[in-house]
Amino acid sequence: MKQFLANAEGVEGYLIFSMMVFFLFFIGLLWWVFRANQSYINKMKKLPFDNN
Amino acid sequence: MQIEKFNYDNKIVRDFAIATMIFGVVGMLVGLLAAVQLYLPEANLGIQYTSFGRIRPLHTNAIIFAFVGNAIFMGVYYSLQRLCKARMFSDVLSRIHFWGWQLIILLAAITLPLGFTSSKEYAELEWPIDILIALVWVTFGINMIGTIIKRREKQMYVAIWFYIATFVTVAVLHIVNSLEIPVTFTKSYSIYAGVQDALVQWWYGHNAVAFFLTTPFLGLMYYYLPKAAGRPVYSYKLSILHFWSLIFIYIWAGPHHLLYSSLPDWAQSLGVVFSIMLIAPSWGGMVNGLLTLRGAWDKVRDEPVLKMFAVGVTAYGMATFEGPMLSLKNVNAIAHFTDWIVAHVHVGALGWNGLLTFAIIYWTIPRIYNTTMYSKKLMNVHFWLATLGIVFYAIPMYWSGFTQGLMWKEFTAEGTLQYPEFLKTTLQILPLHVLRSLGGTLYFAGFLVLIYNVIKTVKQGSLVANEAAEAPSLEKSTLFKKGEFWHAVLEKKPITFTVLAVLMIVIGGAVEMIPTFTIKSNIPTIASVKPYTPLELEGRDIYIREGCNACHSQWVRPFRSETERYMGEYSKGGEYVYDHPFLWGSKRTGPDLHRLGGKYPDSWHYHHMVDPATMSPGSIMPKYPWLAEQQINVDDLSKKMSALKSLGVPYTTTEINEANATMKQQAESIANNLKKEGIDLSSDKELIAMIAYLQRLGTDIKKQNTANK
Ligand code: HEC
Repeated sequence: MKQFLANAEGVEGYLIFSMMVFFLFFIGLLWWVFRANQSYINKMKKLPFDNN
Repeated sequence: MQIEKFNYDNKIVRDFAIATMIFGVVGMLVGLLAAVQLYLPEANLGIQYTSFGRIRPLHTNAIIFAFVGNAIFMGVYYSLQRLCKARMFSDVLSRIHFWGWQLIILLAAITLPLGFTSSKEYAELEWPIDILIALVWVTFGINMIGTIIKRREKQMYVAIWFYIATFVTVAVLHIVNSLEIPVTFTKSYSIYAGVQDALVQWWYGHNAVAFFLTTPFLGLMYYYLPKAAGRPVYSYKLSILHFWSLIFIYIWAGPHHLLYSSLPDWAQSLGVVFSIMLIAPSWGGMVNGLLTLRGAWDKVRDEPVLKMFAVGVTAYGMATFEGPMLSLKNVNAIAHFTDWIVAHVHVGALGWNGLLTFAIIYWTIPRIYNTTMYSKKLMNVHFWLATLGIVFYAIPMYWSGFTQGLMWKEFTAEGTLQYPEFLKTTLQILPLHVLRSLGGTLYFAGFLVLIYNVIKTVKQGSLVANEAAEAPSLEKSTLFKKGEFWHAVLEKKPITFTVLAVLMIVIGGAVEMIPTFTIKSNIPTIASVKPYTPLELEGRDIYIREGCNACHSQWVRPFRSETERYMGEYSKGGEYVYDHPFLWGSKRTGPDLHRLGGKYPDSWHYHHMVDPATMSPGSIMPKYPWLAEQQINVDDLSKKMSALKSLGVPYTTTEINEANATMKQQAESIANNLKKEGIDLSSDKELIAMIAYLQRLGTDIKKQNTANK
């Protein structure tokens, strides 16, 4: 990432902010997804096949 | 629990399918016409309405909004009803949506050849049509959300999240990018100027690809691919992860269309970083699609529908790997403005959108007509024609892109440009353009096979306009239970879900746009840059009308190969502050024009515009003889200047009042110049205005330099 930052002033702030937002969001997402219970996941997978 | 009986509306699905096929033919034919003109300019028949700059937007709009758009609606109306176990919310809204969308397409087909255009790519339609689009789109949204609210299935399957994200994001993109100030019923100016306009446009343009060509098709993939393969999606958890990451990350990546431009560096960097991150969620979708077919490869081998899914999803994977690579600055430096980008988008359009659309038509039509496809053999023929078509399209375009991109940058040992004459690099790639149009013809031929096959199928079956179904009613109290998996809760609340999706996409847009708009230092002003004179303004509007920006950029990048070729400084943000809209372009079929002013005498431009080959032998630029015949329309001049003034262009009231006189004076002096060279052109012709504009391009900054010396 250094080469992107090298020739730009004030880049760090925007970059760090947006990355932080994303990584926090993504870690939260991961945490929730892996807590999901399997019967729910299985039910969702089969939805398109329900009766039609 | 009570069992309810109801009907699915198949007629609306059928109608969208017909529209998809009709506009597929139109869009591809116009594409072929445009492709042929790039080696045989006479193919425009010498008519202004079919010249390249006007039909290129017709082609892109027809394919994106008419062909792919109708295909999306076909697939959404079919799958949404079944996933919700409910008929569409309102039949009336369904019809309004259908006919409203076709009306928009009709208006586009009329206005674009007439030259009524905003010039902003994939958003060319003028403001009254923009308003119509917003209304029809909202009709679609109400109909969709209404259906979701009255559903009989508690959970929203992943396909529906993609549909919701599509609806809300396209609405936001369309409205923000189309903000323009009307001058007349057929003419408006973007409220943004220069760098800011470019940022908004490519935030829109990039996300139109994301939320019109990608998310709805991922939704369709998640419904149709498992259905066609007869097995559930490989990983539902992966679909949750890649959905949210995809919509979050996509929205930031727009600036990768503006690398090495005068967009502030920090915004370019954000675009690059997020573009590279995009590989992960994109491939999440591809892997999920392809792995759904695992263990079913024997079936893939003899089911043309599955073959189309397999190749289509693979094309998606290739295009979404290539996209991030093209965002790397050093790759972008070569690829941008060349046919490489054309190859890239067509792998996406022909491979991903096209093949998935075909597969969905083949899967849906026999089901709503209660029959089977007329001929599986013809489906296979189509599969091969389409696949070969893509290969014969993409390879020549990649080759052409590398060739031209490298030729532009090649220096001799003495340090001068190897190919100083731009035209030489164009002529080099013409054979590849011929091959490309053959590839396109193959692909088109395959599409005709589909249409024949569908007609035969429809004849042997009969439409089940209302398909009976039944499902237990959904009691409200069962909707929300305590302690549930959060996403399960979200999936039950379409409105909350929608709001969250909007939030995701607004963050990215806002972080990029607000500083570019509010912080002055992001676009340093240049004192010598002045607004266009009335005549130049008219010339610029003719440039927009003719779509010159389809072939010419106005954006000299900070490379020695460009400052050398274009004999001037690279383009600065401050030079564009009065450009409503910006005209940077995205493709250099001809040379950049930003430093054109003063390069040639007026007479050169006269001859070149009337017949480019007289000045540049072998040129493939269209002839513009009508510019020497048509009169400048001066009726709206003061209205135009007032509109621009209200957007911050510093025209004084006197300047506006005396606009016609000022214009006449400048026009006379150009006509006199021409007369000295033996050219008799009366001063009220459009070509005079065009020359004025071309001679002005990029000269303000030269004045400053002279002043500084
Ligand atoms: C089909 C693509 C295409 C379109 C559309 C097009 N041009 Fe061109 N233009 C070219 C090509 C290729 C060249 C290089 C060969 C030549 O000089 O004719 C060129 C060259 C030029 C040049 C000479 C630039 C130089 O530095 O030598 C000018 C000026 C120009 N075009 C103006 C226009 C204007 C104004 C329009 C719209 C009315 C327009 N062009 C539309 C392809 C196009």
